Amino acid sequence: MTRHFCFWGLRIDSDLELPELPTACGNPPGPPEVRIERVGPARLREPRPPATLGYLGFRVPGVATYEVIEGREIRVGPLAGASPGTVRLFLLGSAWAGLCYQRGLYPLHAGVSRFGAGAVAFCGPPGTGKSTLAAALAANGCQPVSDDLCRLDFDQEGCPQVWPGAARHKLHPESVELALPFTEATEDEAGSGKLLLPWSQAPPTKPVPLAALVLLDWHEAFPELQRATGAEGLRELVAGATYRGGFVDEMGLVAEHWKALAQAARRAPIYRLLRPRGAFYLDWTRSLLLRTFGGVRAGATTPR
Amino acid sequence: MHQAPASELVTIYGRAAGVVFDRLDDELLAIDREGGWCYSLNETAGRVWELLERPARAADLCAALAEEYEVAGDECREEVLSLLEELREYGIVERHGTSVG
Repeated sequence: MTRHFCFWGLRIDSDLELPELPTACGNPPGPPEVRIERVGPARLREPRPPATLGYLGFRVPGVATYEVIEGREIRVGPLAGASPGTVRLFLLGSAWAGLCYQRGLYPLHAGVSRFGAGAVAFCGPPGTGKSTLAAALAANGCQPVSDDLCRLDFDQEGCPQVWPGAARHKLHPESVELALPFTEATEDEAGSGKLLLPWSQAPPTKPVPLAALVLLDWHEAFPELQRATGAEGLRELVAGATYRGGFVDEMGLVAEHWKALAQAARRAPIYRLLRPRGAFYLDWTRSLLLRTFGGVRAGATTPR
Repeated sequence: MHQAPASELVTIYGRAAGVVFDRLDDELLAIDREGGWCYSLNETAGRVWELLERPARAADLCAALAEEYEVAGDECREEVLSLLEELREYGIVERHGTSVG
């Protein structure tokens, strides 16, 4: 049976059930932009050629083989005994990111929250608190836009915008205990050890203009927000916000990727949010962010 | 006074093919296509890059910059040649042969 979904502005037809994604409303007009097909080993290329804009293939041991073709098709060959949740984890993570790169879209590794009319993207390597911060801000009334991965692109005037991600927070149990008012946590089927919490607010229904990019990092003092400018800021942004950078290299998209992030940063300034490792100071951090971004107008140049 | 060798002055320089340039926060950025590095160019290096929209002889770049920055010819030549070689070592510009025309 084919299921219909709509995610990041793309209509998807899938052989696999994808409970993480919103279902398409009614019968979407026209053919789907993306087809997700479940296939047996005979349909998968072996050996897999190198990644290009036309083909990306990879195998996750014990889980599945994935092939992404010309930005419009993902073939999934689950291995015997693999849990459906784990198969989806790599389908909606690595394979989806590869498909986006093939389509000229930019998967941004960020938790994103809405501040007024604009979105602020919190970027950084795993473990730096992207999801926890987005959840904490949601508890304080900032509408969540993305938990971990979102689509970045540009509107007709070249202004950066982000598309809503899967409508749930994915948090370590210890983060859930940071007095966040969520009760409906379920265990992540993919075996990440994290808990999934549905958003308490409805997600945005369309892309949100990007107002700022915030890199999460550590220092020894109280939480502090700093501007990161020029080449130094861009280098940190590329390092912190690029999802599956190996695909970017292999597909020959490095220059386009850097230029896209520079284009985003021209309208959405880069900041560093520094805090002591292991201490969130959530109230202080929330208040700092709300003071800084509460009145930010997306697309406008903010003070340095 | 040190005189730049004539052979250096007739060398033609151009923007390196493997580099893309962009602006961010008043900085001119040179980004390696392979993702190996991203440099910020200072004002003079940025002006050299602008002048290299088409490949140009070092002598012509020196003359243009000496006039713009109102610097004595000899002093400017030495600094520009040194800058061009530095940019070449970083992979931002390339030599395109020589021209005596």
